[in-house]
Amino acid sequence: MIWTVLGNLFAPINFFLMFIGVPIGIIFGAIPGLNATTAMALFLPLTFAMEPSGAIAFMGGIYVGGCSGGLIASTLLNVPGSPANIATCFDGYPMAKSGRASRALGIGIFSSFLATIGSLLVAMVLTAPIAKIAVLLGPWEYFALCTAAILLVITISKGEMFTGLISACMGIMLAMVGIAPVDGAKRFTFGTKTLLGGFPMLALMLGVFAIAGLLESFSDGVVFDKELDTGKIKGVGIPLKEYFTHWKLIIKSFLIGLWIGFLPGMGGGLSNIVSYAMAKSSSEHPEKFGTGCDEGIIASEIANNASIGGAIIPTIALGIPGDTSCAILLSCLIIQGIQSGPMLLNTNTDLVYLFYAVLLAGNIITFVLELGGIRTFPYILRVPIHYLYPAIFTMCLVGSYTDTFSISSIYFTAIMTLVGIFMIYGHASMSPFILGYILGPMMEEYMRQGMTYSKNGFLIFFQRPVSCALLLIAFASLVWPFIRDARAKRRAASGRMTDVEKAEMEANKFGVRDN
Amino acid sequence: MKKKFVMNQDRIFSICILIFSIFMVYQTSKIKALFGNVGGSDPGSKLFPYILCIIMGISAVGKFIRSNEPDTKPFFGGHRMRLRVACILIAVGVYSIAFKWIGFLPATFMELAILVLLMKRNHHLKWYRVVLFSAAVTAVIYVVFHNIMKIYLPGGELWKLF
Repeated sequence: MIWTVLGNLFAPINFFLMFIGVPIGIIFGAIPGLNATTAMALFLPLTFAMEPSGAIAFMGGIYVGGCSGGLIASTLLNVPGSPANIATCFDGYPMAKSGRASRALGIGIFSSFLATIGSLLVAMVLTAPIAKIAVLLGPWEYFALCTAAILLVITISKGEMFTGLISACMGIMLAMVGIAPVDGAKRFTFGTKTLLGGFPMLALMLGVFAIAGLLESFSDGVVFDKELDTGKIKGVGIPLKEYFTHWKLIIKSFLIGLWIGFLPGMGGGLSNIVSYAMAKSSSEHPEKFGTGCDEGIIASEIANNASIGGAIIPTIALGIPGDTSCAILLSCLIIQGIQSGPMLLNTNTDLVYLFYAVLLAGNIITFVLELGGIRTFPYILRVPIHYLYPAIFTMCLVGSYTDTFSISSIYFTAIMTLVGIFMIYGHASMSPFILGYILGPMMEEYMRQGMTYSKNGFLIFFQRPVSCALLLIAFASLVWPFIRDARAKRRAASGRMTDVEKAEMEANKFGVRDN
Repeated sequence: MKKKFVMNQDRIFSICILIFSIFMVYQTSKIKALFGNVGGSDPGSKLFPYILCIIMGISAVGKFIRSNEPDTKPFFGGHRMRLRVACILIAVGVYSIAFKWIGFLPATFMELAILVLLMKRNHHLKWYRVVLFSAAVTAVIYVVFHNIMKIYLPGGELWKLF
């Protein structure tokens, strides 16, 4: 199998697609307002014409490049390239401003490289055993797992719980348009044939994530025309011996990132903040954080890139996306006719391991390109928005047309853009929305299958121990936000905020929405 | 001391969601199953939508009650920016229609030029740069989709009439 995977990886077309995917991801990750998710949604239509292996190589390259590229704007401009790089701003920018831009970038780039490699190796080891356990589960356990995944995302992510529930329900509602599972009833089609197939996933991704998200960035006035002295950017940053003196911090940040990435819908956006707070609270010199210290950048970049492997584990093993980028990866597989879920590893073993190989190889290419291209980054960041965004919007609309070769896809994309804008208006998070859209149909199907196989109605979900445990965790998590808010209010009143709360308060100043 | 009632974005959003969930309850009631009970305790295709509508409605009420702070940031940057964004959305909508009727090439060229002008903020743009940019991007997209991916883009229904 190794030779098959390597043969696929180094097949000229696949290698070429991965090789161009990586710099696309880096550029999108680097430019504020764009990120890996936007890039993947935007270029998803191009995968229609590709073989499955080529599509995976291309998307995987964009993913790994995009996850790493965000640190560039954070370090050079104090504007996070994505929510996963917010904490990098706290120390990366001060370090760059003090004339140590190459050190800041070098630490960030090497941390990204190291954490991605480590998390991918862990993912490769853990995916198979988790998938084996997942295959033993029945529809009752899967329903409970999907419910727990959605509710955990709602309660753990930023924002109010009610808003998260609304967001998730909207996502599930959109997915219910069309033909119902099990009995094939028509739902919410309003008598039109166009809606029988439901809202296309591509239209949703492009409208909500790409166009609506970019309109919000445009209205926020993200401008990056600051003058940068590229002459101060020299060398590769930091001696390795000096870097590894922080080995304890590296391990702790890695574990935080891996665990948070594993939680469905969570990703680098949360892990970098939590890791930064942990690093500061456990440091011998916490007063140095925020002034340009190595530990601040290491904690943030190690955690957000460790989330990559963490997010991939549930995506491959369970068919539950670990973050929004993984949700788009699953869409890519569906477009290629590959069914996601625990059987993916059995039915498409070569493709799964090709995916890992692409991420590993893509990570090496990212590392080389970022180190070699350090001096060109400031120029990338100065691409005028009034040229960049119209090009992206047009590509989104044309790309959506390629899904069904019907004008209705473009109309759907426009409708989804309005839905995205409406959600921005209500400060609704996108993570529960996309997770609801992807998991909602599965939830309903598993629920109805589980109840069909039993005469005890919904009780059967509580009579099976694994399902019962997962549902209890899910519903208990609904209570957690109220407890958390009450404790936070008491702490704020007495002036004793936790380090995570302080870091989140700093992060909120950037106003970067989670994706 | 009673807090003053504030009608903020969150509350308007909640009202819209509540109205939407009531509408969806009505739509759910009209769902017709293709055949009767599938077997066991199958609840049918209406239960899930009903549950979602109830959760959405309760959440909308909960959000309405809890949101009593004034908006800290104007939605989409204030009135002028909202107008600009509205124009961008209208341009996108018109493009969707023009894409079919006048074809990919002219529609995309014009749409790009219009969007560049709408997004230029305070920059002074030379007209030939806008024209060159629009032509170049249109050509690149055409080559990528039509020549490389073999995805044929519409030539325009209107021209078929002549």
